[in-house]
Amino acid sequence: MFSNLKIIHKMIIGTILMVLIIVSVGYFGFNINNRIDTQSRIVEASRSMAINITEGQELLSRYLSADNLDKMGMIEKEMVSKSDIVNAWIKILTNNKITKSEAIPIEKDLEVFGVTNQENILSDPALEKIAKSIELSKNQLNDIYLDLIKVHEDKIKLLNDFDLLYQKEKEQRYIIKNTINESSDLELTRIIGDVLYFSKEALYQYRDQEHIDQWLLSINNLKNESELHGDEILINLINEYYLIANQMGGLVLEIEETEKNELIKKAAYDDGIGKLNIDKDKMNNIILSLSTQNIKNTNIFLFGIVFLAIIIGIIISAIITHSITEPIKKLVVTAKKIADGDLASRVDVRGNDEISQFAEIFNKMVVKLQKANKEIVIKLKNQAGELAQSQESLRNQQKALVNVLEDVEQERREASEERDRINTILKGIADGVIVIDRDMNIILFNKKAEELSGLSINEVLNKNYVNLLNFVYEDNLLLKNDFIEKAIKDGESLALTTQASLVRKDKAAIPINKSVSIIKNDEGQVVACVVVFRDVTKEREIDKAKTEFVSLASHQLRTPLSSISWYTEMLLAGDAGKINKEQKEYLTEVYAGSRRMVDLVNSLLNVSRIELGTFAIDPKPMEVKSVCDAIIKELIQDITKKNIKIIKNISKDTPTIIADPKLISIIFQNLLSNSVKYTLPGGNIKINIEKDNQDIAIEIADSGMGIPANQQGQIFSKMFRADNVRMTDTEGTGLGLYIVKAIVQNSGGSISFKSKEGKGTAFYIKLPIKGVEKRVGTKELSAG
Amino acid sequence: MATKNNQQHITVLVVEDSKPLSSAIDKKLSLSNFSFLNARSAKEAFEQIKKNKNIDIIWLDHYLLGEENGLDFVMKLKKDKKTANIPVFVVSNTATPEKVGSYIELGVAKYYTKADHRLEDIINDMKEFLAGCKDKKK
Repeated sequence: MFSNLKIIHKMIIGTILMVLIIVSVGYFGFNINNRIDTQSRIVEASRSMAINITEGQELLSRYLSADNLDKMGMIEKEMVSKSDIVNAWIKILTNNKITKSEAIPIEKDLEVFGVTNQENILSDPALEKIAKSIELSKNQLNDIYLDLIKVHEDKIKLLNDFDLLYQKEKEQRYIIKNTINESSDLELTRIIGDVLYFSKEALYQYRDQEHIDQWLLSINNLKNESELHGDEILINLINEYYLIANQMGGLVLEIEETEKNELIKKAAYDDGIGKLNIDKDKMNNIILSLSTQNIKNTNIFLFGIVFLAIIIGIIISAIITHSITEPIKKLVVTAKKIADGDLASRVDVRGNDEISQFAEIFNKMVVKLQKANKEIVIKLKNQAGELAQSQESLRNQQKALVNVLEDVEQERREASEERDRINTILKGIADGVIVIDRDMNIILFNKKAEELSGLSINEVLNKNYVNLLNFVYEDNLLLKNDFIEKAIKDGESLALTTQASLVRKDKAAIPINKSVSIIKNDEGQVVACVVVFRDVTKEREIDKAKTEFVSLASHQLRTPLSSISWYTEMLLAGDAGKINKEQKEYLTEVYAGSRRMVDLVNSLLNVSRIELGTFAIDPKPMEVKSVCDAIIKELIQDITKKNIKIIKNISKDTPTIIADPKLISIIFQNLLSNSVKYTLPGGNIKINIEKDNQDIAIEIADSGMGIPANQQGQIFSKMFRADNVRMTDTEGTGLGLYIVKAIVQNSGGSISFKSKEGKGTAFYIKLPIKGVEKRVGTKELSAG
Repeated sequence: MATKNNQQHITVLVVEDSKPLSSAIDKKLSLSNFSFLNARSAKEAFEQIKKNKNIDIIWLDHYLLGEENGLDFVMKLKKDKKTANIPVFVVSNTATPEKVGSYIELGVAKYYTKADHRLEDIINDMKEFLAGCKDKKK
């Protein structure tokens, strides 16, 4: 129905509707607000009424206690009756500072809530019951009240009678007292005193049976006494007084009785009032809850109206919205169809609004588009033929490429197999194998390497080796793992297997033999370094056992050697008689042989001590020169025999050094005896000793046969003897230089040499002047 | 020969368990105009000392027959005032530093490694040593 309107008109209609809804909701909200206001007023009014009723009761009890019984009519007036409730209410509302105009709507509200309708209130069963109960209580209370009034009136009548008699008694008593006083009768005077005293007690103070009796007795005494002594007038006066006194006694008892009765009636009345109050409270509560319920019902009704208004509003706005969005949707659907290629689609929107106009223009545009599309299709068909041709040639190229890729895959598979094979071999190898790249990172770590180092491959792979592999010196456990870095930097393999220890992850050091090999690429650049190492714990143990055996055997060998030496010595000395030249020659050979044997045994002992680490160092101040001289003296026989020239050059500032003289003499003994041994007759030996900073420098150079260049790396090895000296049959054990090096190193010094085959050899030793610390060992080294 | 005339007759007690060695020593001593007595154990050595009051010097090996060794012998010898002054030359093949140290501490005159020294040299040392003692006494 809105389709023929423009959007702006639709908007205006929607806005007007919304304003109407807001106004109606506002009106109802205001109304509700009013109702709520009224409700609170009614509650307030109820409270006031309750107060009013209570005030009435208070008043009532005040009247009662004040014995103002004439005004007991108030009870009737303040009593709550059926109509009283609403009347009182309206009265309160109108009296409580509410103007007439304000009161009218409230009265209407009361009407709405059914408060003015007495029937309505009384139709509530609870309320009806209470109303009846109140009615009953009120009737009962009226009866009690009438009784109470009657008793009270009786009491007052009696009291009036008593007052009249009291006047009479006072007059009579006064006359009697005066008469007796005039007669001056002592006995009567005494008795009248008693009567006066007791009358006071009986009529004023106590007004009870006991005191009345006492009083009457005293009057009787007076009567008897007067009859004995008095005149007739006095007797008559006393008799009259006695009659009045008896009447008064009767009245006192009657008044006492009436007062008791009145108290009982009063208590019953109080009870009735209490009961009435409770019922009134109940009634109040019921009225309050009834009116609250009414307000609630009204509220629900009001809320219902508001809700309905909102629903209607939503429906109307939905219709308006739909009339705007529907044509747009149609437009969108058609546009999508066209975009998907359905150029025959048209928008079906009729009407006068802007959207309908837009739809019309849109339809015209589609017609033009359809025409242009047809032309493009024709052009494309021509191009498709050309494309099919180029696709075929591409397919051929792809086939060729697939063939190449298959070949590459084959190569890759073979390489992978090869790698697996190498890995299997590495795993199976009994030696630890580690490969370290140029950046010092571990790139291979085989199973045995894991086992020996205690490190898992995950802990080391692609990490710098320096902090992981703790190769140490075997004897002092100081770190020595820079050989790998050095090998990589120098690009030189350490072909010889060298000894060291490896500190495992659990800190245990195991002796190992290791070798380092360098891997280079085709350009000769170092790419990696292979470290191969092996646990040699067993070999070391065997070595130790061997050394111990040598040490023991050497000891035992010395005793028979001593025998041979000494007997030969005696034979040569002619102690067993003269020997001929030939005998002497033979014995000399025997003696020399035994001496060599002793030397060999001593050297073996020294070697075993060095290797066991048990030799002692006992440093003390000593002169190197005197040790040197002593050794030259020992060797002088051979020196003279070979006509060797000794050139000593000992600097004057040569200091006293701290060293073990025995060890120093072993050094000189070995080096000088070697020089003498390997120098040809007529040659020379140069000895230089001088101070060099903190050291003393010793040079022993000979013009001997020298050491072959290719064997120079091995001269300090145990049992090594160079080929050229072995050829000449010169004696030697191959232990001397090994021992010398061990002593020099253990004394904190260093040893080096220069040699040329056929020219000679020079040894250079440096020893610290300050020496090294004393070392207690189990064995001393024996001089060669 | 020169020394022979100048000196008194010297008696050496040779304490050595090895028979071949002790006979070699005996032979060499007698050739050098020394008198000698032999013992192969510490016990025998003390018996010899008891019997012969004229022992000038003792030639002692370390390993001996019986339970006691050379060190035990020297200890006892030095305890007794009568024998404490007899000089002792230890000639042995067991040259550990502790042993040498112990002997020197006990007050032996000299220590030789058997295999490294000629008999003649040791006997000449003895002669020189005793001559020195005599000079001191004078």
